[in-house]
Amino acid sequence: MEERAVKHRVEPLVLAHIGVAFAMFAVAAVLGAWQMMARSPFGAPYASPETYFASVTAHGTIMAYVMPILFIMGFGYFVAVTALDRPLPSMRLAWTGFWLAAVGICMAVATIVMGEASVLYTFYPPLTGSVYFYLGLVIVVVASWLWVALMIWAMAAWKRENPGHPVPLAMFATVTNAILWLWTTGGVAVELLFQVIPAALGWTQTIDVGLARTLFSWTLHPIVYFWLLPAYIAFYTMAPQAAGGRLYSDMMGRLSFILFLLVSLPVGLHHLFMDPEHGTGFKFVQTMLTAVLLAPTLLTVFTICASMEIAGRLRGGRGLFGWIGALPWDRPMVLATGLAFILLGFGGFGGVVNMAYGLNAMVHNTSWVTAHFHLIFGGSVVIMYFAITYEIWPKLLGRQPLSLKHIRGQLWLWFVGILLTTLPWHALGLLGQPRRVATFDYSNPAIASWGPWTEASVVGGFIMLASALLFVWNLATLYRSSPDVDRMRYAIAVNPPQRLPKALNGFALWNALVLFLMVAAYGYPIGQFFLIDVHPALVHHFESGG
Amino acid sequence: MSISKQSRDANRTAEVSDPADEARLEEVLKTVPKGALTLAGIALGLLLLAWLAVYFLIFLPRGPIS
Amino acid sequence: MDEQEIVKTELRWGMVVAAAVGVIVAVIIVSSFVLAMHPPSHVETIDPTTLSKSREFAEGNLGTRLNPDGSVTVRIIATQYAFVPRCIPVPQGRPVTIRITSPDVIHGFIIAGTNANTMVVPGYVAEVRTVFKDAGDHLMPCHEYCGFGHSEMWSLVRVVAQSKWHNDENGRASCETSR
Repeated sequence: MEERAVKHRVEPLVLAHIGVAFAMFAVAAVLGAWQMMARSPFGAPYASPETYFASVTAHGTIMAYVMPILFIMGFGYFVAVTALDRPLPSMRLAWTGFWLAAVGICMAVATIVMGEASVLYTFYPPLTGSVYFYLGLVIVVVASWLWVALMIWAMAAWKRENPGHPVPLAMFATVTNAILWLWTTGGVAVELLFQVIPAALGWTQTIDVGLARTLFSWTLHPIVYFWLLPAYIAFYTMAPQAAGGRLYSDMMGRLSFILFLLVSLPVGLHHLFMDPEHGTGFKFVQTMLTAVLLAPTLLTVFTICASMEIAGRLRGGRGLFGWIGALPWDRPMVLATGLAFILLGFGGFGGVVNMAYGLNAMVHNTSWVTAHFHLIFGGSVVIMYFAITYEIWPKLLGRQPLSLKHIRGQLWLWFVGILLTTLPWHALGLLGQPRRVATFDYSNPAIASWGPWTEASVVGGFIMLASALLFVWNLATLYRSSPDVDRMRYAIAVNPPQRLPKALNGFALWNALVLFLMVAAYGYPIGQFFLIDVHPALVHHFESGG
Repeated sequence: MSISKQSRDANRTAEVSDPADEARLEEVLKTVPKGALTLAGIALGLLLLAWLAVYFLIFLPRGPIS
Repeated sequence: MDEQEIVKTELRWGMVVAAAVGVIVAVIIVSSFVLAMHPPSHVETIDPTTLSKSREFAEGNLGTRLNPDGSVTVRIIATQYAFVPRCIPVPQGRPVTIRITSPDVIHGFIIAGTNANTMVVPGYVAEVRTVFKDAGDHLMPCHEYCGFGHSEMWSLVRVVAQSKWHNDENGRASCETSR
């Protein structure tokens, strides 16, 4: 019997998750380009506040929730099976999760399309939409919790069968991300279940807006690390292998993922710097914690550069920088990693501006913020999602791609597009352009100067749209060539670990630390709403006209 | 021998490189990570400079905030 | 190269990272203690459902007022879909405190070209303190989604040179009288 690239019957499951993720991604990409036209001097067909804000809600809900959750679930199943070389603990549970997610997505998207949920992906009570929107998203989150359970279960079962052995880094990092996600969803789950859904059902007529925003902020920062960690998994375990080198340090990789788990959670208040329901004390504390969060990314940048340097020098690169040119840039995973690092530089810069306490006042809720998260997520992270998919697609379909040129072309198009889209937004942010505006009055001389920047951005947006469609096209049509596919190989460290302390092979200590940090950072900021005299606001239902 | 241990051993045989590769790796590791340190250092330096520039040349001149 | 050497190198880089992050943290700490640069964080609750009956935010009391000590306080209501008042004069070079609240949903504003920025959350009075350095007109858009009319929600802030400043005997100033 011919050896299959992926054992343990998981291909349909992974293909289903990633296929749906990117099908919805393509739709959201079209909406994004349309939105950009609508708010530019060009204008767009069918544009009105109703259609614009429904589109923004759809674009945000798909890009921030649906696409990443499904992609990460699918990728996680792939890693669990290939890195641990054992079947998933329960295929039935995994498929239940998929279908549950599908139901939730249909519910949420239906309400958006019907115009009954134009509350954006950040919800922002007291604006309240159809209860089916929120319920749909709750169902998607519950589905993702099934994935979390499977990831933890898979790792625990492997450890039982391999006592004392280090969990392969790719799986250790995947489970770190799963645990991170579980903690992350706490805030939004409580906000939806106890505040927003009762309001949407009409069971309550008022809502404590400060508490809702604070609970949402708990989720809002670590969710971006939930999105980011799979890209880092590719940096650590796939890029060095693709480049023909070795991972410089497996241990530092584990430490970085642990640091992300610890420090990405207790920092959400930096999304509320401009909010009047919190004082300087806790805003300052969470600023300092956010500064610590810079460390694992900067450590990763070095470790991956060192790993790539090994590969480059093995290929004959000499001198201080010769190894860079010597790398096999024709390989998509290598190319994507290089492009991702450049985008990470720009996006990281924007982030360090946003997190800097008083400095946030200069940019909050301007296009600078839009620029930052599109660049870092849409840019460096999504380009790695593309690369990961290109890497595992042959294993899933059992076919090699016909052309790497089309793949590289799509990646370059994305790189150019995201920069052309987001760099002008940084300038517009400094000029004071507000977020979430459907249309600008370009005849106003003060606003007219924003026009050219916006137009440049629109061109970038359409380049991105072309790249997004080309990506889906590549996946659908390129994989026809020879059925000679190797099984999945993850990067090997320079010094593969033989034995590891429990702390680098499990999560008991880290979960305890997360609990401590969350209580310290969020205990009072959340608790205060039950202690001070708050005046809740009236619920504003959208269906009644907004 | 459990199946998983069998496959693990098989994987390991496939991954372990021959002595010539190991020797090349040791050779290369004498220079690594000078290049990476330089590249990452330059990137970090540029990031810091850009942040300081925004802070002192754009933010502070726009006036106090509290 | 054994793992100990590798970890040592990583730690050396870690110290470089700590130093760089340390510079950023130091600048933030010094700015906040020495220059008093803070995000607006005045925590004051108010009942959003009875704003029109409040003395401070009654319609007749909104807008710009010169205080006895020479500073200026501006009171604004943010509502779907306008800031009241729509045109706000402020003096150049003097401390200005903006007090703003909302009876309905979340709003927010930035005064373009300045650091004046805040969220406006129903149930709270947001207070922003700044000094406007240069005379001229500044756009003041609502920068948080507040419903379908969000795109239309803009005020104008007019920074008036000291020599051109005019207020009535109660300290009240308006865009018409201050040019």
